[in-house]
Amino acid sequence: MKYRFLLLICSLFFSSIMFGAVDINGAIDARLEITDFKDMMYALHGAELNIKYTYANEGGDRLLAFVQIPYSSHINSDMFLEHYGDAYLIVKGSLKQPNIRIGRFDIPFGLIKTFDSHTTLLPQLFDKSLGLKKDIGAEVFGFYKMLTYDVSFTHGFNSFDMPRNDKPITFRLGLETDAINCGVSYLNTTHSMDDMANTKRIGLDIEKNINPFVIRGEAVLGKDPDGKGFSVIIDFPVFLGIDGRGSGLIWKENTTYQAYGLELRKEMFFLTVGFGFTHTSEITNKNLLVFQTIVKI
Amino acid sequence: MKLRLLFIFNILFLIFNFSVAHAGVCIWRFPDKDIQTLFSKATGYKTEVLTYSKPERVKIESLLGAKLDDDETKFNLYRIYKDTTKIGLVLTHSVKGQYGAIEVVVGLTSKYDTILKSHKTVIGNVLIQRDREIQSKDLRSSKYLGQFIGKTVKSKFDNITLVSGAEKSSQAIIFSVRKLLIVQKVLDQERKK
Repeated sequence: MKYRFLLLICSLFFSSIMFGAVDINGAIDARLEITDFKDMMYALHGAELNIKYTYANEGGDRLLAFVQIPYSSHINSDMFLEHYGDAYLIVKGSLKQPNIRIGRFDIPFGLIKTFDSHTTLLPQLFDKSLGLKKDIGAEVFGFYKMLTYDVSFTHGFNSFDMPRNDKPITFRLGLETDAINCGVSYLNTTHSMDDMANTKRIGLDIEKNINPFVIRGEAVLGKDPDGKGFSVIIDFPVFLGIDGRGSGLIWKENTTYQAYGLELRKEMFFLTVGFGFTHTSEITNKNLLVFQTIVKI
Repeated sequence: MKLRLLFIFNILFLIFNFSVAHAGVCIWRFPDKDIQTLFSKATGYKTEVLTYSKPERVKIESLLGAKLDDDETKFNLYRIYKDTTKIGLVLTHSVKGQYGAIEVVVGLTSKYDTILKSHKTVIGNVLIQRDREIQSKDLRSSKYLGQFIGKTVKSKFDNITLVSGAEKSSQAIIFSVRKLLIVQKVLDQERKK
């Protein structure tokens, strides 16, 4: 019985590949990190195998399943939880109808929604302002004319800032045009230790092309704990196909955290090589130099 | 030690490969939105991932007059439906422009050829979904992209007027559109015969 079931699964899988419904790819991100110009560490930051399956009926795509099988040499770290382990199912409505996503995914708040920080070497505002990026739950999303909407109800798993972020509700309303992308976001969570307290965050994000530059900005304001801050990320071409990215962020919550950095990257077919430098206001680990290699499969 | 060697290799790789162009697999970022521009009557689309055999690769390269990039191992094709009727195709491609990647979206339709007395696949519309070109507005204009409408895999593209000051990127877009037409012919049209 077990073997028959396995055979059925295998035949479904391979017939799906035959019909072009399965897309498999992967990547390995290895990094050499030098902290404060003295401590050196090699790390397999993340290896990932991505499997995407699309089911369609006679009217079009109806179901999208995505699973990322990840591995890292620091699998339980915040960095890993922030950037790896998506696994979700999207039930697609007809065109213009809402879509439903169930599983583990990026919550729809601010630049998390529009900026892919999966491989970036620079610090991100959500790390301090939300303490959460990926979560397990359900999301409804879609668009109407130039407006996009996302609402998610999630559990608060994998938050790297407990006891905050229990059962977060996140909402983002975006405007997408050729000239500008912007959005307003709201997040409300309960504290797992104290049901009376709710962390609230409101955010404004913007992405504007002033070619050849891409400028992204985000401002976040919140209560319990009170905090406010902003970040700016600028993409720019350097020369001979090398892409540059500079970023700066400030987050005030009890103390003031500041970080800025520069990243250079060159993509060559299967291989991407990168260099990043970050300076933060932390007492230790103030300066971080990173050499990065990404091999895509 | 192995990792150390890997990083040294990467630095050398970076130095020696400055000028090589890059292109690659590209997703359709805003299908639900773009589909209204490309096919106003569409009600849905089906996603397919096209891979190719060695003879198919040889044929694509021969028709294109250039090698496929090493990372171009697959292409995304989207079949467009009005209810349950196929009304067109969309293909996407990323090509290197003057200031970074240009992501091209091509909508193809079927048109009846009265001379050949058969249907042929023609370009219905071309969109740029992402770019960082200084002359982005001109490259996205209907004056430039409109020149592609009606062209087929057999058409000549050397009569397309390039955007002044953005000749390299204009050529890259032409190359990308031609490549997608050839990919559709070899990996979709000819497989059905």
